[in-house]
Amino acid sequence: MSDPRLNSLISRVIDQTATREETELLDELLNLNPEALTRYVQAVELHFNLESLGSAGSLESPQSPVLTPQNWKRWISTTSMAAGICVGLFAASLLQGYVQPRLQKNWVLFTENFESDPAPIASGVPQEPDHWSGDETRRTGSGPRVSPLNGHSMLQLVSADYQGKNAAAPSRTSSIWKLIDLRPYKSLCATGNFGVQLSAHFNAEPFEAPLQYMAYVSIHALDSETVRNGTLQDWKKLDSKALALNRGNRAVLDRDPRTWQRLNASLALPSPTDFLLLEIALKQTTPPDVPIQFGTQSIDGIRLILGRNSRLD
Amino acid sequence: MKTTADFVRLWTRHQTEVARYLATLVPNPHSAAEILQQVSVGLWEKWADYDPDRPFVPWAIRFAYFEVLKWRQKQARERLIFSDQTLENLHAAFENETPLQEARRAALEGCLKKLTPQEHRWLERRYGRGSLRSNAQEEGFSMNQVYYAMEQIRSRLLQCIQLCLKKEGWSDV
Repeated sequence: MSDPRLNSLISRVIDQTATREETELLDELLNLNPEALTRYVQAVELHFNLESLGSAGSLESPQSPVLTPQNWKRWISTTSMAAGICVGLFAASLLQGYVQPRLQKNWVLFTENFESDPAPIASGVPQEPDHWSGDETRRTGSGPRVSPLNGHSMLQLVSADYQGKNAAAPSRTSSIWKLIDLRPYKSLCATGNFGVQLSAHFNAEPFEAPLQYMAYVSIHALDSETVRNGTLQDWKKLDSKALALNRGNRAVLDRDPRTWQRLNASLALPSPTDFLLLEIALKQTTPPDVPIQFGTQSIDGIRLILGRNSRLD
Repeated sequence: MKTTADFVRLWTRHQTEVARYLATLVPNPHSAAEILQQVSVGLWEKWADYDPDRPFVPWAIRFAYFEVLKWRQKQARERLIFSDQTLENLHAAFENETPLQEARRAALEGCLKKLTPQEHRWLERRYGRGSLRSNAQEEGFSMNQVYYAMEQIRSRLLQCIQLCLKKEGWSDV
């Protein structure tokens, strides 16, 4: 059994791909939890042994087929399924009980600039952590007037629905969602002193009146039971099931394609928090007789940070 | 009487263990290699103080620990450096884990045999000879794909090693 998030962090430090923030986060975790410390020492030892075997030519397998990107995908999908079976229920609890919240800074849990990963899956609210999912979107480069906030790509909202959506009428809100597993940080949540802040940037190609859009971001704090019992599928009930929620500030989307509007939402984490459900949304707020129009509005530069409540605002 | 030959013999035999220790405390391999050099020079300078009735490795590792602290003070602003408290914790954890290192190494051999040929291929790409980046580029993989595969395989190997040790009756796993 293993905690995927901790393993990933350790792996990134070993492979020298960790950012400064990630290294500092691991540093904190190694102080909070002796079992994380042991796991790190054993992981470095394994890495070292593999390096020794590799330089001696002892890792070669006579039947090794040459991997191609095609069968890599097959391999990854099998491996991910196996990993998913043991989604860190055991190791998530490793970090509990060693409450020495020494975090002095805010920690970036993720940033998303839509540079390399595929566009979110168009299947509504996600049921599994760490994947964007929602209404129909596409990853694009610069448009006629709008350029990505960061890098070369951004996410374009194509519609306010997705195929197979069970709805009586077409939606006027185009959303993407992400479920975040916070169980590795449970010991911090338990103190009641920590929270998260979600931010995202919105922009659009010029659009004429009467079209008008309202952007917002939201955070729901959830316990494991709510995630397990299928409440996410009936997301309209989510507000009443959430331990806490914040829809942050809202803003009418401006008509200037040169400006990216930033929206934030912060949430103090109640102690039973196991998961967060993040939503980045744009709602068409015109009268009902105006046709719904999406396809030229974009999202970029999403970031989620964890920190002491006093340092988040 | 301790001779130069005694030092060379002990250092040659045990420097891998000191290198492994340094890799634990200092994630950057170039920095770790630099400190390893300092340690070898430092140990030679202190060779006269070494008590041959005591084991060499703990003496060398203790010395290496202080070399890491000295190096850390100089590099305090550099990225990817653990705090003093973490270094101290890692030092203690490394010492706790030392008795089972050999058992884990032996278990690794068996666990490697359980990997699929494709997983072996990933390991060769990451740990084998040749440049990782050029190997990946030639075969059309991004570095992210290689690192993700490594994360999965190392995680499987660690689980397998742990199971092996448990089956063999090691009590503290």
